[in-house]
Amino acid sequence: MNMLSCRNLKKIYQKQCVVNGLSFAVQEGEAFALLGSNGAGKTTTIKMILGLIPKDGGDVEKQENIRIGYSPETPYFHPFLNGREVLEFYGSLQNIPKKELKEQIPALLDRAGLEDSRTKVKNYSKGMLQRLALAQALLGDPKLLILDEPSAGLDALGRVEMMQTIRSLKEDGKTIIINSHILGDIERVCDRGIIIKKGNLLYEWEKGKENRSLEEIFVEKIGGM
Amino acid sequence: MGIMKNALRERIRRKDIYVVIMIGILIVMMCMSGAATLSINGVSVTEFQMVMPLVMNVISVLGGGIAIALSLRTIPNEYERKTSHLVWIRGVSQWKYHGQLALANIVSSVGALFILYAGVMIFAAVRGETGVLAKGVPAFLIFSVSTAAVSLFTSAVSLVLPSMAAGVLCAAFMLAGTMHPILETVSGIVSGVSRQLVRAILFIVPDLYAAESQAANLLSGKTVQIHSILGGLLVLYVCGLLLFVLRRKEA
Amino acid sequence: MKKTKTVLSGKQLLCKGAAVLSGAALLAGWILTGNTGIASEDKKIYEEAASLQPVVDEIGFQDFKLEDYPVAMYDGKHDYVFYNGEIEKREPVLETFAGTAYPVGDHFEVIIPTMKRFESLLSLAGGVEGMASGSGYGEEEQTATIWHEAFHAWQLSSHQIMGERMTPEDFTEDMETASGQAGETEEDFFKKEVDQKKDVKKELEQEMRLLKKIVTGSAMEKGKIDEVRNAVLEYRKLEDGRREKMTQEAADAERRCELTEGTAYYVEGIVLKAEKGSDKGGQTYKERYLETLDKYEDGRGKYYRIGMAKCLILDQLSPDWKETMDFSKSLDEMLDEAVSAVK
Repeated sequence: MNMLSCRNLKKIYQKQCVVNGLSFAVQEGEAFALLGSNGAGKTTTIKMILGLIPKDGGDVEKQENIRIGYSPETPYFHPFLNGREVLEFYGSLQNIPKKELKEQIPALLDRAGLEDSRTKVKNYSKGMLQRLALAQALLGDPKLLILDEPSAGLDALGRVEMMQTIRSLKEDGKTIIINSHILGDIERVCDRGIIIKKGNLLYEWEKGKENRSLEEIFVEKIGGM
Repeated sequence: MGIMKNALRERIRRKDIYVVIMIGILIVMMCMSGAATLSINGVSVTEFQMVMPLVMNVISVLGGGIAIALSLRTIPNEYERKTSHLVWIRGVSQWKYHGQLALANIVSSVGALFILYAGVMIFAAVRGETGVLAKGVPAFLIFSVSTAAVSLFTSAVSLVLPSMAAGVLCAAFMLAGTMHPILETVSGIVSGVSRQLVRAILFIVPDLYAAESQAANLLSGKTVQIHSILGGLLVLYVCGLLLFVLRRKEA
Repeated sequence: MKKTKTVLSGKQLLCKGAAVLSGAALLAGWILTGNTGIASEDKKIYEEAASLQPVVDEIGFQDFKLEDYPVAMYDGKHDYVFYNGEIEKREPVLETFAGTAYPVGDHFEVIIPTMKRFESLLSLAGGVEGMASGSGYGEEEQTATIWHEAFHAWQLSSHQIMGERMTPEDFTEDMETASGQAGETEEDFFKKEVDQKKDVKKELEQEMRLLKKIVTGSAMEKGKIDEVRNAVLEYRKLEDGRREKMTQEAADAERRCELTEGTAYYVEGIVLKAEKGSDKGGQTYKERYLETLDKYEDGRGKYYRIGMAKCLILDQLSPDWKETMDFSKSLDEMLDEAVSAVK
């Protein structure tokens, strides 16, 4: 069953087509990758899915009343808040009852690998910010998670931990869309994905479908055009 | 109200605003101490009833400037650092989001105005003007309407215009609104195209001075014109409408 | 799978309805409280001015009644003429920024900006600091200004000023002639003939100090007529000496300005004093009128004060001087006569 499907998505910026008739579907419970080099139109696609920017064409269809969690590539949180306060703030925007929020927050922080401490966000490392971004995406137990470069800026260990967390989320039945350059990570976590270049769909990847690694396919497709 | 609370906390942390407020307080104190003296018809103005409306006007212009400074970047900053993404995806409407940010701007602007206004009250207390002190709170509520309108207008305009353009437009709005009576006088002096231009400005820009002057009227025991106060509130309402109507296409 | 649609909840609808209603209520209130005509503040000012007739009667100028003269208030768009208990709206006769007595048809009227317009005038003059509703000029001052200008209307309508009768027609004709020429105003004339001549100015300043000393000194207060008389003689000597250095035309202009403006200023001061009440009125009168009697001001302004000082001295030397006042003589002539009479 499709959790989300995009049909003929189109986005034009300053007369340049950055997403050009992109169509794909994401099935419930799978981890789906959006792959491509910088400027390929991955983030633009995500923004159109989330309704953060208007589409210039095409359709996005989602399951009814689906709750979506989103972790941005470069998260910004008010520096004077601590992790718990950030989650309280975003939880309140989702109208999660206070009592429920109180119960959720320690578990979410723990799951994202953060301590429930008084440390202010201004003292957070890049990795901690990414973890906090993931934690806020998990508020309200969303069925669909969209993670934009979740391991960007993380060190090797941080990346491994992040991927472990994402895998465990998938095991919990979440549907996940990941936008990333790090092909090794994608190959470890994702089931399917698409490779796009300059807004065009180049290739639909499926884990284990080919004998080649994702990296080999990616180089062939991206380099070949 | 979480958005407003956080935006307000952010404002309080901005040190440049304290500098502006300090400068404002300094000017008000100068006006009141006599370091900067004023004379009308060759008679130096020392009576409280005479000094007070003048200082109130200086405060209102300063307050308007502070309101613009405080309100200009709040909403654009949210969009530039993409805090807006995490708000939009949670289904918070633009009106609610921008409304809370604008409310934070209004609260901080009116708060800054109050710091300046408190100077007038201290001055009144020193001069033994107890009658003025008693009317201090209602007068401030009237007085702050225009500053709130300037702040709200700035918030609304900052949604759709680049900062520099929005700043210039809001400063022009504030100055023309506060100097409405001056422009009315000028429109009677000049002729031709200049006259038409001044009249057009007078037609477009609401009279912010009218509401402000009612606060001075209340404090000095003169007739308070409800019409002017309602006019000020109407301007505030229209600025609110503007905030409602103007939308961002992208988060 | 469904596409998302925006549906307004009951609460949202209620909020929107309340917002629209409050906006409509605000607009309705604003329209209803608005004045399509003259502001209530200005009506109140005129009524207040009219109610002060007994105070002015007590001053003693015979047959000087405010009700005899239409008072037009100009709001920047229209004149609102108060006359015979009615308010008539008309196209503006004069786009004035200050109170004036002005010929309209076959009579003189008082034309004064509305309070709001007056405030804007003051704000223009005072720059940022003066952008005040007050600047010290309030409803009471406006009332006093109405009396000041009404006094001019009375002077022009009922009297020959130092032998010269100016009818509304003459006045209009004079203005039409002047507007066609780059003529010198009285203000410029005084600046050229008095203010820019150092010795004349210095002597006039000395005279003003002496006048103030006479008016505010103990001799006046204690009714020591001889002392006042001697001081006036000293003053007159100084004044005549100075005027010998001036042209006849300038000296006559001084006398005329002192007579017309000094007396009007004198009436204005008394009205303002009465308007402000016993304690505050006395204090204001002292601060604004008496203590500034020696304030030298370029142009015509100083003659308001000099003229008023002379009126106050006449009050002491010849208390009935107003009863027979017909503006045919200068205040100096009247002072000389009063001094001779108390010999």
